[in-house]
Amino acid sequence: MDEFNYMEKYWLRYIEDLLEKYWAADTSLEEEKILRNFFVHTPNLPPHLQAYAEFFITQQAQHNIKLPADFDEKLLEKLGHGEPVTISRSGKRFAYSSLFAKIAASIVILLGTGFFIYRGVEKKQARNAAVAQARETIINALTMIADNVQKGEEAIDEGLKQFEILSAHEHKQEQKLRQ
Amino acid sequence: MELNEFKQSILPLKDKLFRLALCIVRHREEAEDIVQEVLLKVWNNRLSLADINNPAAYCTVITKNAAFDRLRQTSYKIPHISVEPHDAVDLQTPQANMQRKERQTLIIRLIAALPNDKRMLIQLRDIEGESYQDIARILNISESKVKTDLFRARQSLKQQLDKMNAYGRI
Repeated sequence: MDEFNYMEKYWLRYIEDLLEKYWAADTSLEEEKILRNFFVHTPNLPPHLQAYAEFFITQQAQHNIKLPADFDEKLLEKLGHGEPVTISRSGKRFAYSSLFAKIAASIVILLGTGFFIYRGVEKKQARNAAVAQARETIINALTMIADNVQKGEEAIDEGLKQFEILSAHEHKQEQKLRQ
Repeated sequence: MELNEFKQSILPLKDKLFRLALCIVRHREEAEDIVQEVLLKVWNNRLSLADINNPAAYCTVITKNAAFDRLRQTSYKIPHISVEPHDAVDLQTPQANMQRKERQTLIIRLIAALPNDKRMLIQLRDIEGESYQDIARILNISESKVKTDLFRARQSLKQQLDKMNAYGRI
């Protein structure tokens, strides 16, 4: 009995040391397997080890998770007779289509922006041309008015000269009559 | 690769791949769909599989990538945790079994609450029993980073377990 207790204590001490190494990420795969087997198969543990026991039991339980039983059947049905298989729902394909959509959207945006910029430039050019034409028309009109005004001024000058000559002539005739 | 060879060398990896996908997307149907997609892809590329040294590691890497792709596309509609505990040891009474299930659910939630990279490490090392070398290859990081991150992940879990123990929840 004493020998059994001694063995048990020795074994527990060994497990505690392994646990320390485990938390320090210093255990080998073999030592981790020993820990897992110990906790899964040892009932009535001392309280300070009980909390960690469930952690290793959960690890073991998680390792036992399996695919549904009909998985092979469904997969082999899809594999057919050695021909390439179309993957109906592929993340990659989704990613590619998403990538293509992004590229297509970028092209549309670029083309749209380019079109509006081009339209803007075209409109600006048309507006500049119209302004230039209007300016030319106004200049022509003003030149024409200026020419006409000058002609008018010349005509007035001529008229005034004629008037002065006539006035002078009349003045001379008046003086003659008075004499 | 013939169908028989595929059945013997690739198909037996399915449960391990499923658990890895489940660890990432945390949804059974999504994880099952990912494994099917990966195995169909491996079958379609079976001619180039002869050039690959370690088909198991190759399948694990493409499963990991496919699961993260799926997570990015559909994370908004995947419920947060849909992983149920799975009894390793059947206890004597239904009540004891029920209590064990509750405790396991708490621990699964602790693991699920870890950041993605730490959760993957716990999955690959503690649940699948992969070597540091293989984990480094699968996650594309150095072995020393595997050890450092695993240390942090385990320390974080230990703190949570100690807290749960202090509150008498475990």
